[in-house]
Amino acid sequence: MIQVSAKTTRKLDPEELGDHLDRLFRAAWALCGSREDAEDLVQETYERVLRRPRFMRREDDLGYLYRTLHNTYFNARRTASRRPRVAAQLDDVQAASSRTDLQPERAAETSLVFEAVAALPQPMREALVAVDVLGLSYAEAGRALGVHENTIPSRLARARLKVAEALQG
Amino acid sequence: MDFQSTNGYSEEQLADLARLVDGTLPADRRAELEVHLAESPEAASIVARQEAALDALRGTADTAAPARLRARVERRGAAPVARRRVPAILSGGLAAAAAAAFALFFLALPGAGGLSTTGAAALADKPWTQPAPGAVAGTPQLLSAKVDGVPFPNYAAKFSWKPVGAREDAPSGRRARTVYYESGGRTVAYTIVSGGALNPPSGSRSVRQDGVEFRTFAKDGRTVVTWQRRGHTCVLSATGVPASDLLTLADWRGKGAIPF
Repeated sequence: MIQVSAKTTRKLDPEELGDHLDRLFRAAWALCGSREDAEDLVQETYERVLRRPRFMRREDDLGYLYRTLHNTYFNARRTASRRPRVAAQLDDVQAASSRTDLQPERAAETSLVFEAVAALPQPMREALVAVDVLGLSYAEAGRALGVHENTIPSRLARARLKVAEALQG
Repeated sequence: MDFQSTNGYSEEQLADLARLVDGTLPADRRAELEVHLAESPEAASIVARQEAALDALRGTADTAAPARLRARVERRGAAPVARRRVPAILSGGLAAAAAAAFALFFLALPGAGGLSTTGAAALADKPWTQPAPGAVAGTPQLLSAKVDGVPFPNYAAKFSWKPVGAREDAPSGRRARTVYYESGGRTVAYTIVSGGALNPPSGSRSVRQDGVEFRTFAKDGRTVVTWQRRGHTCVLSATGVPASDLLTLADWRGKGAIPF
């Protein structure tokens, strides 16, 4: 029988999760480099988390959401890489966004920054998204990513340098 | 990546440079590293390039989730996004806010020799005269600066607001210390005033969170939040920062590390 200690665990409160939507969306966009894919990824993340009650130990809501988002994204990529590749049909190609609620210049800048992040090798990317996009501490980022917090800052330094280089063109 | 530029730097040194950039490097190591930076153009370049990347990333911070995603997530079961209610005085038009700020300023003028929260908030407009306090070793949620044992929070890692300077004043004979934080070209000022609690302006609005009452108002174009920590008046204010963001900062407990 599994016992859940009230002293060390707490139930994730769905009421609180909506507050993190904007930050999680930015993190998803930075991870995958596509605004449209980020929407799908965030929706999938929330669906997974809300599917059943969750109990947390030592982790805050945002860190838990990021861990789920991160695992959802990289698991899907691994699965996709094992599938046979099929040439895209014309109907599969997404039309350019017709959204009118975005400031074009600002959206373009954001898109450039997140494309630069998405091009980073995975360890650098996930550290940078955790700390500089989501705002997690090194310890929280380490817990969310399953690595020691001491590995985070050097990855972060390398990631920032690479992003700066990409943005300089 | 330009690996040439980081050749010769150990993982630990790169980690220190990352911590320096985001403000989480302890004060003693910070001082040591700043000496090295003055002597090493290569290290200074690593810092400058990291800062450029961080500025670009901070520029994305106002990107919101699309409304259709918000609707889908809420339909799926998450509660409607519980944005903190911003008092009407702060979310209304600029003219209304300016008029209200003007009125509040005069309503809250201190009495004979007294200090008001608006008076404390005015310290935010003064330049900082001291270097930024460093993070407390082992407790990165705190800065080393404090007033009567009430410490300032370190917003660098969690919220990307880096401490950039500080000043001390003695308004009406009280001790007041202000720490300034910067992010994306914007500045937030956090003042802690010693002595008894200061009354907020009579027209300020009340927001209660986790048992703490926060009072918000506008003054001279600044958005101001004031509340009590251990009997000390805290005043957090900024220009161009939404009241909801200031409330998030004010209410941050750092997982219990920040005493209220």
